[in-house]
Amino acid sequence: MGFWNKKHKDERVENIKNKIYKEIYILIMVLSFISIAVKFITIEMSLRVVLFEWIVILVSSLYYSVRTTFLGIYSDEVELHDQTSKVKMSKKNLMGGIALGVVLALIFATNSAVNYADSSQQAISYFLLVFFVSFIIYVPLFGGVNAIIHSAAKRKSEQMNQKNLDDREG
Amino acid sequence: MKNKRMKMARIEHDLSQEELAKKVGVTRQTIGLIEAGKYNPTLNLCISICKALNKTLDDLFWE
Repeated sequence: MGFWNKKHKDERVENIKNKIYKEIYILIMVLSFISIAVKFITIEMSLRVVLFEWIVILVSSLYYSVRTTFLGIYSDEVELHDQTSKVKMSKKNLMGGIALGVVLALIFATNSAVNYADSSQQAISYFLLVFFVSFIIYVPLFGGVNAIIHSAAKRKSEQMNQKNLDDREG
Repeated sequence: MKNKRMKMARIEHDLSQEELAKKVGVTRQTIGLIEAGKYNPTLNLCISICKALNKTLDDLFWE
């Protein structure tokens, strides 16, 4: 019986430990980004060499998103943010997606102009062409994906909150 | 702000910080910090302390 009993934990110690875990998470993220930058500079700019870092960043971000959504705190975060900020979180997410699309379009356009053009005239035309095509692909894609994910996560989180409230009342 | 009422209640029950900590299921340092006013316990911990010292929340934590 005693074996299955959860050991009583000191809340103060747990709080401090959680604070340290949060710092460790930030540290791992920072180290992963530094590692990506260093590998891009010293080895080569390809996904293959930074695959592990990407997995660490993506999986932990995904885990955080899923957990906050299913524990119902994502909608709380949005509510708190919208109470204090002039720009709503949904708008910020959409703008972030659009900005990411523009940045990617600029990178691809610059890459095409620098690596594949033979003359400056060709470089300008490559830049404009690739930028335009990338822009119409990536801006709606990232803007839309961000907006849809935000909206779906918020709705699910609200549902989970409601379910928790119903469970407690019932 | 120091929580003198909690300290007095603990002494009334002839308990050391360590003994109260053991009863409540926290460390001695946590009890020490609550008495010194350097840690705000959660409501659950407040209730556990009140039960251990046979006091109400008002008696120990209401200012």
